[in-house]
Amino acid sequence: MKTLIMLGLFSFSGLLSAETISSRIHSVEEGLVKFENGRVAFLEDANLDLSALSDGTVIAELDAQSNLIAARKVHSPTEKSILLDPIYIQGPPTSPFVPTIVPSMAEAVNIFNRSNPRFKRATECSDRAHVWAHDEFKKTGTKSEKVFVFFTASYINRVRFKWWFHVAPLYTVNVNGSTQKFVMDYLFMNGPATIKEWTDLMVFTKRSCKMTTRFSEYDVNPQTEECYMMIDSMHYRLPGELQTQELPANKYKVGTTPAELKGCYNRTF
Amino acid sequence: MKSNKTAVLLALSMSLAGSCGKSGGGSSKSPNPQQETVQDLAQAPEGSYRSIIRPFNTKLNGWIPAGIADIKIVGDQVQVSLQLDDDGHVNHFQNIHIGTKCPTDKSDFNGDGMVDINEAYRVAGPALIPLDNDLDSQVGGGVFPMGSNREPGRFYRSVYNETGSYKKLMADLSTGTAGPSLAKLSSGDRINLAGKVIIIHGTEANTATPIPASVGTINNMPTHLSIPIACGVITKD
Repeated sequence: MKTLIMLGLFSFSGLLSAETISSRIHSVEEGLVKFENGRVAFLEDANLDLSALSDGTVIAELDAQSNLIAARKVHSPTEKSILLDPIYIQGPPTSPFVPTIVPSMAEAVNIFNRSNPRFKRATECSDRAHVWAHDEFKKTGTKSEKVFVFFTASYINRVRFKWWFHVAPLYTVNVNGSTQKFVMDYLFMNGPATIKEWTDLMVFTKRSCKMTTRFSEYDVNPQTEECYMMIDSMHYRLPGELQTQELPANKYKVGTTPAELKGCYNRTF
Repeated sequence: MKSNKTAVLLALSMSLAGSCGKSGGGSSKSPNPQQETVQDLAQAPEGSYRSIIRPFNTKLNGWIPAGIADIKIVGDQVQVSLQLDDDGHVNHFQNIHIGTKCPTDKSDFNGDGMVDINEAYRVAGPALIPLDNDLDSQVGGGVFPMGSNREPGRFYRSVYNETGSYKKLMADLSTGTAGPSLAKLSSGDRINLAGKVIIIHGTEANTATPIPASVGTINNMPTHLSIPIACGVITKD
């Protein structure tokens, strides 16, 4: 508690900080603060108690090495629990989400090139991916998935990586008679990319990320992996939404509300 | 108008120009992109252009720098706006190149794990227009943008906004001698920016992944400042 107060007493003058983050905190583990926007801050005191900041938007100041030097909550949580949202259902959907098969690689390239390039600066990957995926669905009816990559604390600490997750739309493409998955990360890649090409951009050891269907497998975080991956429907935007699939919530996201999409648009374009 | 408020990169830029001037063209070392694209420089340039700046060499510092460049040519005015997010606190040597392909991580021709400036230039050709504080001149200026966090609530980023005279730039680009790392236009040529690439260089000195000694540079520029970090192909709106 004392340390927490010390955090609050730091000046927000910006003289010491290199970066300011405005986001909810997703979790704190192993000397890392994971923000909902994907950013990471390092804690010099791994035992720092940030629990008082866990239920609302936080303004956090980081130094040039991404160490957390100050943090304060800016408002209490007002968002209703996602568990009450009508786009979530109890238990796995009886009709699993099936992505559309894009007929050819040429069409996959067209989808990539149709991605809205008019995004603002410093936008979140989760918002961009959500807009791109839903834009394509609105234009052509093509249903896509999302691929999430989650970096382990050991990897983040080892390479001082600045992000703990990244997400992009994932399309299933017919390539000469067989279906393959391609990531459409318009900001980071030059075209449709295999999952391995995509993760290689972020995983400097070039090790493959372990695929999982349970967020908790990443969350318990065995230090033997660099990263984990999850693939789910285009409706999933944030890691926290994947977490709710597991008990005790056991909730699955089966849609995207117009308000959610509008929020993504407004933040991104 | 040449600025005397030059940082290290001004000297580096001047050194680059001087070196190129002395090189006498160095045709045996000139990459093919220069030869391929000089012809289309005669096309009309006026219009709005955009480039999505995408990252490579990302292992350097754990950053994934990416951004957007907007270029407008209206009459005699050339206006360039370039913003790079998720950046380090470093000056960014950055140029529009004569070539039409961006280097990627696959451009690591010597297999040392990083794409250095020479490998990048092998793909994208020599620099044509330095995006520094003097757009009127290829050799003048030399002050490049620095990643900063001046805007509250934002990540480190570099912001570059500069305006110049198209005629002055054309005259300057047609004067002097090309070299292996700096391209020149033939007299009377005009720029067609569509398809050209922008390469951004520079990362913080204390890289998370050490830069191997095999990483090359040009004109004695420190490798952490010369190493390329992002590239974008320019498209016409």
